[in-house]
Amino acid sequence: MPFDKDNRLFMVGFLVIASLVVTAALSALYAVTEPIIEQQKARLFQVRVLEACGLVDHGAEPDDGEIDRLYARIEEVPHDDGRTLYRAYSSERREELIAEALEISGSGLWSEIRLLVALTPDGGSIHGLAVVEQGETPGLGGRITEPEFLEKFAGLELGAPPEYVGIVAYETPDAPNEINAISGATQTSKAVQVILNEGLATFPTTAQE
Amino acid sequence: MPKTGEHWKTFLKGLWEDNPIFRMILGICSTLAVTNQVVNTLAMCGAVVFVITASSLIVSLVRKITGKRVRMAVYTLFIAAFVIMVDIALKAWVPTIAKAMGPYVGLIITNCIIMGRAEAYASNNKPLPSVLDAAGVGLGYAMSLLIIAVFRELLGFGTIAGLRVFGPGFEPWVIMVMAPGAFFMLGSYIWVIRTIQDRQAKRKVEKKRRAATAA
Repeated sequence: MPFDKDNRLFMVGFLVIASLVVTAALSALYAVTEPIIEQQKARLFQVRVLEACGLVDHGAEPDDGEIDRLYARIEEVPHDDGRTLYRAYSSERREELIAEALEISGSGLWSEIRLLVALTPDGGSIHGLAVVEQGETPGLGGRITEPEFLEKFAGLELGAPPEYVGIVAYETPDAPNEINAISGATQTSKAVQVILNEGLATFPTTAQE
Repeated sequence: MPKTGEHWKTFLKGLWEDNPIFRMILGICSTLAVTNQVVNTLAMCGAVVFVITASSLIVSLVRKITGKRVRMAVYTLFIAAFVIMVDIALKAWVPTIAKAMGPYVGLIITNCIIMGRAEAYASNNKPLPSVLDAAGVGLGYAMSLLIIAVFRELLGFGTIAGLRVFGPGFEPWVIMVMAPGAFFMLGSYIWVIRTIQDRQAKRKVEKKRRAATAA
């Protein structure tokens, strides 16, 4: 019988074998690179902690040596609920506490948003904010990762619970705990407000009050 | 068997005569999306050139045993596999660029230029010309994107690949790095190149006519 590539059985067999070969190749590649990717992710997370604690500027890309040097100022303390509290000190000797950061998360407009929020030691105002992960629309909600937005939180006074912070749209922020939402990304901005207000309620320094 | 000159022509065609951006008007979404900074554009271009060349090679190699009805599935399978490889590689070695490119790496799978070359060329041609054709078209895409990116970054940030070109007195044209700037820039680019190509074509016709009347 002559070879026929359009034979139904052959086509199905060919597709199955091709899929298996491709899957095997990708799995092998993934297995090899997974530890590297995990390591890179952990690095990136450290940078986010440093950003939230104000030790690194938003958008700066410190190299590995710089990250290690600065991260020595961070103390990781296990929190009651299984999360980790990141305490930032002014120097590596860890004497003067400058901020305490905690990871908080919640749903954005399209995706889960994970934030790192740092408070001043007295728990009275936000020291800094960093975005760990988000999948909002690029160019709209995705702009919550931009320094222009994140820098507004540095030094923001906390209001009375449960409205710790207000991210306002269509009006001018007039209270000390309010900032402007991102134009064109009101929903994502509001989501950030909800995540912050719910998250801050679980903070050790604010929860004590 | 075509001569070396033929191969060369196949390769050059993708760069100028059949350039995907200004002749075929394909792959426009990625052109608009990732051209606001030269560094990201370079990563995108490298990824596309790799994926298009590798997938054209494989498609050409299996062209004699690929059934007609499953050919699209086969192309997609290989293209997707190469794109995932690129995605993993970017995440492992240049995570900041991977982050900046966001969803656009995965979207290379749907880049019509790649599927187009597989269907229009690699599926009926031998591996060597297929690779050259794909590389030509891929580099033609890269060339167009880089030209657009250089202008957008220069006008929008005052820098090229992050290096400051204009002094601190320069007021950036913010619109150039936003979406509308991409449309303006792409439109102007196609206009300029097409004008040049039209002139070239006219000159050729003129030459032929003169040669004909002389004879």
